[in-house]
Amino acid sequence: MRSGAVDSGQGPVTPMTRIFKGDEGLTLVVLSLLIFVLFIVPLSLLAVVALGDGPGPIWEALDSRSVPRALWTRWKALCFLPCSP
Amino acid sequence: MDSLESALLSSVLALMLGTATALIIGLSDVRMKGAYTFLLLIPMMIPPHVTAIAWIQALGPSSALLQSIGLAPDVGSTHPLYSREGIVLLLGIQHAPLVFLVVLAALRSLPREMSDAALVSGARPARLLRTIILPLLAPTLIAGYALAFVSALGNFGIPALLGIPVRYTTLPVLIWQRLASFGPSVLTDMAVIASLVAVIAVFAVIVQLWLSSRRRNALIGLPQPPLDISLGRARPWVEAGLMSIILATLVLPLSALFATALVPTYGVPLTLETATFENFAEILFRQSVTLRAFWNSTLVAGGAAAIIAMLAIFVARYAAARNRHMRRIGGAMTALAEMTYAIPGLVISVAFILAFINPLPLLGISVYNTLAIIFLAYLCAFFSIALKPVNAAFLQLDPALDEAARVAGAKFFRRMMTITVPLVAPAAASGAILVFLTAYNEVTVSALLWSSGNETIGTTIFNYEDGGYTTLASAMAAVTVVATVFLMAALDRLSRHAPPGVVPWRI
Repeated sequence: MRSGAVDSGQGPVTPMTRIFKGDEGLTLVVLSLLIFVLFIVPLSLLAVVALGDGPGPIWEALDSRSVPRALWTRWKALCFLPCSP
Repeated sequence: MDSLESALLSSVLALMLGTATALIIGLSDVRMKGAYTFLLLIPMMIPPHVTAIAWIQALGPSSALLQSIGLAPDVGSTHPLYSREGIVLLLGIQHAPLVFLVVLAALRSLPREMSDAALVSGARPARLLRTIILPLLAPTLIAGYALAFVSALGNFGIPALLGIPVRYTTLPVLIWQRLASFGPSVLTDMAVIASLVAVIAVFAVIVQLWLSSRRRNALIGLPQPPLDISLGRARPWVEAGLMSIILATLVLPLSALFATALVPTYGVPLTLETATFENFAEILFRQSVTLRAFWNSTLVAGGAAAIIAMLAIFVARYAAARNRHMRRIGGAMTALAEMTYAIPGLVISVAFILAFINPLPLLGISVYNTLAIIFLAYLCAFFSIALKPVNAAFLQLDPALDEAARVAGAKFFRRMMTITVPLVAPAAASGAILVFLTAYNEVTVSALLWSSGNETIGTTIFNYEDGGYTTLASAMAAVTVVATVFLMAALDRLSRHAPPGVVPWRI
């Protein structure tokens, strides 16, 4: 039996509202927030700082320079020069 | 360049060693396959810095083991492992079990029709291997190589202990050195190097996943028992070869580690007169740093293992949900966790420094320089380890049970607590033990995040070795090795009540 039968009498249910309904939906929201804070925020910050001139907003980091060029310049400066005899 | 060189070369060694042992265990009639598999996988579960310390003590001029049998190199001679070749050798040995597992799993699912036809036609085992099995395994071998490459690229313990003395600097070591150098651009420098490592690692993992999916497409028919080629008179020799590999890669370094832990000073030969348990007494009862490290690691690794197991049940539940949208969100979380697992621990720790260097917004609490940041980084770095077995358990779960309870009016949490959690508990417990095993004595994640008062076992062993307190480092490493083997044995027993695939070595 589909879940719609249990939900009958609670008005029209669209796919999106069904996701975030009840305990199951609330748990999914909490879990998504947790995953966002634990995974997405730190790794996004890492990318932003690596591409920018220091810890700052993303629009400052992703300025006029193209991303590959900025990465290459920094990588060359950091990895090649100190390692050369 | 040193990173790429050591990762590329050591992966070749890991591929050769891992494939050879997997072919012997997976295709032949050698005895005690379970015991061999367990012993071959122990090097993978021992943290890399402990492996490095054990090997340094096994082959150096001050080796207590070699001195006691009169085979130690002359005092003052160069240690053979402090070199590019030494790093490649140890990285290869450390990651060979990864290739072993991947190839063994592939052998279990290889279609047997062609092999059977070849054997009936009179093909010798060598020809069967060359013309049928190895070509079929080709995508798996490349995937195994990619896995070993990613692991070697992110390895910190081995290149740090063997490479720094000879200025062989890999990217994880460079990140660690940059943090120690301070200066205004330290965070940006670390972020750039960390991003570079992450990009290479993620690319290699994408290649590996793509090749794994190609391997699955090649399967036809139902799973069949693996080949069991009779080795005949060669069997004792092959078994002796396997035993030699175990002796060389496991028994030799661990014997050296225990020998060093039992002498009063590094360089003293181990004899009945010199043997002492003073180092163990020192680290277990007297040194406040080691006691604190044992407590901190138990607390953080135990807490992370419990929370990860709980979260993994919910994520796997959503990934297996009947609702298409929920399944997609659960699947995205799983993919994110898998991708993060490929990113080296040191990169994760840099990301967490950047995220939590300032106090938390609204709350005003700072987690930087506390155990909490190590705990949070563990949640991110090791989530995938527990998620895999729980996902495997959910695949075997009949959704009709949950549906029936839902129709009967049971709410979400009641269904979870009375139906889902009891059924996936063995898999979740196995996942939790695997997380604990990995986090308990790791150094890669905590190397940049520890602070005074918040030491972990891994950082304390590393600092003791780095500071010249070799006997104390050995004693502490020996305790963690015993704990690791004990936990692996417990996990092995627990896995008998869980579905196949829950524990890596029970394929």
